[in-house]
Amino acid sequence: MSLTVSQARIQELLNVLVAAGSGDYDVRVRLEENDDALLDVEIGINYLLDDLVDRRDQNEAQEEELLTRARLLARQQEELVQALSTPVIAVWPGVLALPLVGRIDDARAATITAVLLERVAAERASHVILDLTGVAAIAGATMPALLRMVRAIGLLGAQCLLTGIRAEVAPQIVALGGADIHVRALAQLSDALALVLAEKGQLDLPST
Amino acid sequence: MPFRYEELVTPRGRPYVRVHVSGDISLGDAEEYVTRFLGPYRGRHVLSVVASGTEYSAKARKHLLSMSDAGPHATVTTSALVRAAINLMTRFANTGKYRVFADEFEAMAWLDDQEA
Repeated sequence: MSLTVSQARIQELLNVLVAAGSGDYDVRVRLEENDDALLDVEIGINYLLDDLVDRRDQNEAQEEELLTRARLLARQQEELVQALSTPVIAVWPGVLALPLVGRIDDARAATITAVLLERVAAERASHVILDLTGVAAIAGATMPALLRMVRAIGLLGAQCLLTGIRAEVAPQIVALGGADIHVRALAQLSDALALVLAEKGQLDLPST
Repeated sequence: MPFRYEELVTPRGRPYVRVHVSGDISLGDAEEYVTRFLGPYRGRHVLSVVASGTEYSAKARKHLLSMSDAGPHATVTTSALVRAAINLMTRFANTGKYRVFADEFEAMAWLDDQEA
């Protein structure tokens, strides 16, 4: 079987194939009522391009869905980290405790301060116990942030207590000017709670 | 509607469904068509007359390929484009008894010869 085909049709096919090969799947072979075998090939190429467009659209939709899920996960993770980084616990009516863990930079200190002050005001807290048991080292930015936090708590009329200062952390606090913080420091959170309850007349401390 | 159905009888008295096809065929149209031929018209002989300019969307084409166990099907069209499109679609599908004709009398004779 022989087939006579015009140069223009061959050129058209080649142009479409080159465009598709470059990633443009929206091109199509111009079809005319040529009753020959090449018409099947031309239509076949167009159908193949339709398929490629379909798969490209599916891929784009899946990619978009993955991005949406990734964004949602990132937001949930951020919320979780924020919630875990400021676990303010009401250990007694009017007494709040905040165990600090990890590095505290300016941004985190600002978040912690905001959350803590809100709780102090909302619960009319008289005492706030900042527990540093989970703080292995005081970075340069941590001390000023801690100082600001203590001063802000004092401005709301609450008394601040520090607990859990590790032996290796104490010199760092002094070196960074932390000794200027006029707050009571106790060994453990339970000691601070006992002291507060004793001040409130709700616990008799054994005389030493 | 791109599909119009008639229930008729061949010259030898065999019942068949004549389908007039024209226009742009969407996925919805194809779904309706397949539902008929896998449902109430299952196994029926079919003569479809497809007009020039009829276009099948990519999704419609794929869905029509799912109709694999239909009865004998003769398509009549005078359009080379439509004939090439249907030929290509039937290459992908294991459609069994399917032929494309340019002449309706030939198509009817072939259809009448097919076993039910």
